[in-house]
Amino acid sequence: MWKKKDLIGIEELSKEEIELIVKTAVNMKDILKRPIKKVPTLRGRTICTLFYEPSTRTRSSFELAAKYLSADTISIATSTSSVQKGETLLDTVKTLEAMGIDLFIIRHSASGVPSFIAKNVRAGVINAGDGMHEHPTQALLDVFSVYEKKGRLDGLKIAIIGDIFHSRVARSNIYAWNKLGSEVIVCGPPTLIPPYIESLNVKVTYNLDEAIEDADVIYVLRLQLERQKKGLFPTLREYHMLYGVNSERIEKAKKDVLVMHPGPMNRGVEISSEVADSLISVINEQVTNGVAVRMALLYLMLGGKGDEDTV
Amino acid sequence: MKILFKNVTLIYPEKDMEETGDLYVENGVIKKIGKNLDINGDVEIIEGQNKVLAPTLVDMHVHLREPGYEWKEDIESGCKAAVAGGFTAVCCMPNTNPPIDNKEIVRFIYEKSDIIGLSRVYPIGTITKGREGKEISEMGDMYMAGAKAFSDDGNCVMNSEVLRYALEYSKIFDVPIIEHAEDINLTLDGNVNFGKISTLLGFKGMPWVAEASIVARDVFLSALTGGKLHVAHISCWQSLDMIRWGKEHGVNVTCEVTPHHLVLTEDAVKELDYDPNTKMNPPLRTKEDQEALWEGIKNRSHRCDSY
Repeated sequence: MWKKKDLIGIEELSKEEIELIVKTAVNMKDILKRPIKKVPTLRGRTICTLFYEPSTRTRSSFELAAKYLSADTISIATSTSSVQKGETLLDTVKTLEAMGIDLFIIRHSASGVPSFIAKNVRAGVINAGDGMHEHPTQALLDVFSVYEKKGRLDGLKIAIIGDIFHSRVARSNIYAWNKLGSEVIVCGPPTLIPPYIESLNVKVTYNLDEAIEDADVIYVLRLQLERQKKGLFPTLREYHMLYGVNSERIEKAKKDVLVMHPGPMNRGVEISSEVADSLISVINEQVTNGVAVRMALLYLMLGGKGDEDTV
Repeated sequence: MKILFKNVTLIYPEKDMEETGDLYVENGVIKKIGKNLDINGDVEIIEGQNKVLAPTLVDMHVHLREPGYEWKEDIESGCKAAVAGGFTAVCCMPNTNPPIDNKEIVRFIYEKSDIIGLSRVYPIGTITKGREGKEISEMGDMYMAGAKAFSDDGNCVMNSEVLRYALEYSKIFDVPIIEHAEDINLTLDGNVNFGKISTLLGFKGMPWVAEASIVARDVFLSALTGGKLHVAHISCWQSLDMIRWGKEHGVNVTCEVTPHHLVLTEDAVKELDYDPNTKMNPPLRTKEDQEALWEGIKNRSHRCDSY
């Protein structure tokens, strides 16, 4: 059973909790395949998405997940809200809570914001990405996607490629795979590898071929193009030459390797179109699974008493 | 063809060897080394008193000036000078015009020096695009084309964050970043050492701090990043002390010193009556610096010596 009020990061989850979410997501995915994909489980519950950063997939994924479970949703776009009038973050959240919100889904560019909000409201809080800290629901949907294809979560080798330094997706995935008993190797230019990353029990390499050599999963991170302007690597073409995942590189990988990407992709930079659109790519499936995993999480955090309840 | 060198000073740095003896070569291959060798047959004998026999030398810091400044030097004239002095390999600095900041110029230097066919030439690429000190250059592309190190020589990388990224990024290829250590704010309009001579001759002067402060910064950046640092042409004892400090603390750092800084001091500028040949960058320093640099050679603080 689920006991936590909030989900701030994978760091705080146990292996059993991750597995529970994945198992629940399997059932939720069945709902998504039905012609009428709606169940009444969360009728009367209210969810608020509060995004201080741009988002397409995470936000719509959460909102659809809530709607498929019959919860009411509101979404606050900070650009048109009283944030513009100078209201503090906490006042905004407290105001919304006073209207009866049961669960906040928060994205913010500053690490630590969801945790701060969670400590100050009675409603639940899900972190939808905070700065360079964590993006737990992304990692959960990634884990679920691998589970669907590989049928297991332990004993795998996960290679995470790209900008580890600025990536909350990388951090959440590292925590998740560690807890599940799989091995993680991170790879990117040294300017994009944070110090002491080894302390999270990962291997580090600057050589892409070495990273993907016997990987079961190649997880390609999005390269934020503004990093080049900050001078962290010379040019996009050199980045692709050294760290771009393309067919030539994949030839050296395992036959049954999976290629993943959290989106949105920079085709021709961190990943080639050939690979992104190939049969080993599960990038589109990840998006579908995002809805299933978020349904599972909403269900566990707000939902009925147990598994038998309506699903 | 058989050649016997008699009573020659044999130097073999790799084995820490320096002794007087004979060396016998047959068809270009060393067959025997020893004392009082006696070889029968048609042997050319070369008397080696006061002469040195050593493996050919590598100069890791030369300026071939091509492309762009051929009126000063070009690849051919530089290579001729190199082999005349016993240097069969040289590494050329990228302060050309355009600078060696992309693989096309790296390839050009390889191809041209291959045609000339004298010493081998290993290009050093720039640390930053256009040697402007702003953004790191395409080191990966240049490395794959054969660049052996990276340097903005002639310019110091003044932006600490740019040098930090360069030291980090170069770890991919495990090649050194060669720094021209000079805080240009402290050396502006200077052309001799800041000290007694600059006062006597009426110059603004370039203080040792301009070099040593950058060496200190770079050693710390190398410690932070784990990148390989080589400091070009150091000239004062404070720089050498910083290099030593780095080595004692496990920092991956080496340095080089030039012959002119070993054999001359700032006094030469006065003695030779403002001769421009005595003005250089970094400037000739004091007796104290000169002695410290010799001491560094003797106890191998430099690890690399450039001529």
